[in-house]
Amino acid sequence: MRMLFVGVGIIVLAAPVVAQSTAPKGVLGPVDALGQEVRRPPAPSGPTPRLPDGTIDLGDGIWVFTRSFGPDISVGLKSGEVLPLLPSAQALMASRKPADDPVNWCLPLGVLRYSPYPFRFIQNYTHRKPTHMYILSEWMGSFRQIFLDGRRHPPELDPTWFGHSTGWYENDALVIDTVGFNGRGWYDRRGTPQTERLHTVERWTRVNAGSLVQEVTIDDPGAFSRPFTVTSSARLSQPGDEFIEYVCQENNQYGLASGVR
Amino acid sequence: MRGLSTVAILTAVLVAAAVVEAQRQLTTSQAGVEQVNVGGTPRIAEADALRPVPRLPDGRVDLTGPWVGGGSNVDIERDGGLKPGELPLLPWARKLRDSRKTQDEPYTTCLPMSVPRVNPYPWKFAMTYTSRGLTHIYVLHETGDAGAHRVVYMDGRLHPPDPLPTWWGHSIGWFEGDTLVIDTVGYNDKFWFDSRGTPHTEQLHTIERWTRVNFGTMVNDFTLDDPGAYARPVQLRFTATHIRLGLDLLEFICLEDNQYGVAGGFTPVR
Repeated sequence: MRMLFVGVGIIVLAAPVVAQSTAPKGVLGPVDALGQEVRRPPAPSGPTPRLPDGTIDLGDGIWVFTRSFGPDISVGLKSGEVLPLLPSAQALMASRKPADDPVNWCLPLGVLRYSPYPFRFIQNYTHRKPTHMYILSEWMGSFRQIFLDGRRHPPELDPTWFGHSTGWYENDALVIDTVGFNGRGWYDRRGTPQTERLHTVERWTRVNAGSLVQEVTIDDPGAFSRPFTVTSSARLSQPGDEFIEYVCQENNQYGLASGVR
Repeated sequence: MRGLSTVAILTAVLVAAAVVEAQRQLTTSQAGVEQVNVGGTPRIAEADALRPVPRLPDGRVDLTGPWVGGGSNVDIERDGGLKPGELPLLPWARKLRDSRKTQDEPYTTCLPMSVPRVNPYPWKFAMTYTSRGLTHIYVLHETGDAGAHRVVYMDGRLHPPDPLPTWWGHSIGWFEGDTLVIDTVGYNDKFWFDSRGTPHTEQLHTIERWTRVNFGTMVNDFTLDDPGAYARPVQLRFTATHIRLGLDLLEFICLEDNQYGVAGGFTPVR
């Protein structure tokens, strides 16, 4: 996966990674810019698997977004809706250049910008039951930590890329509440900005074995005039698929190959 | 703690907030940069450490941690319990180690430290329970991008016949009684075992045997087998200590304004 996604850095800037319907077809399916043939069998279907204690299992495979926020987070809005950007946020966006994108410098994708890289949930089982959830991304092998042990956000937080996340289950949805962002992450390649006042509430619902829906309410009075919700979905990769090692900082060609200096 | 050994006051102060361990052997300062001891990762209280090994609901030993130590850092030979000169490096490998300079260390540019290096940053075994049982164990290091995550396949698969060399190699694991055994091949030859520059080749094969002896202590009996750089397989022993209860890994983005190399006076050789 890494070879595919990273190698096409230039293309990634302009188009979603999943080959478009206009792309030429090879014997196995659509052919992407580098000429590889991408075989994409349908995602597994069937009922959502569960852990022995009855909890919904999000961690039995790796996920790939079918509609990602990567190019533009507003694709997650309801039809006809626009991002309620404050003028200051609009001005900041307008001033941003591709070279300013933290991702080009191997910095974290942040909380909402997984794709096009696969990700997976790690339900860290301990003698005190699942106390932590980690969301791992193939992107640089980074991990994000979510506390499932009932703790609250600390009153004062050191701002970080991934923020401070607490999580719990509501029926079959995993809810993740995050504050304490550092405001440096970009939601997308357009540079839609975040501030340290950002507060996100994610709801992850595995609607069946092969599909996952993510609904995120974004509340950031530093950048937006009101809270809003974006929705995206992911499909389960084929059983047996695993992450490939991706060390961005080793001979980083992503930025360079994309013409970013 | 790499910050302590080499880095400027500013960095040390920044690092002070992190859950990291004081290095017990301070090395010489770089270019007159003053060193500040900022304390270290709080370790588990002795009374807690002596408690029995915790177990998962299925009876399996819980290896989660977070831990500090349990691998190499400054000098694998010494860290692993050998006397000076006992590591059976082949002559070319010994020469390479002795010729390596601090500023060439991949780790100073945020590249992965790999196995068996832990440095004094906390790390944990994330035992991943799914509807198919314990299929993977992820090793998560606070060193963030330099530690990244390492995956250990627990689903019974074998190594591929011809693995692509990677920083973390291809790891398969299984339990022998209460001991987690991790067998890894497919490493690249780029990382250093320690800041001394102890080398290896792509022929490296490691076997870790992790045994939690009480609540606060876990032993890593480590077999290093690399006919490319060593005259014979070597047996080393490292010990990990649980960090203070209630503490967790912090976020550490090495690549963000990396002051380790710069403030330490290191400019990577291009």
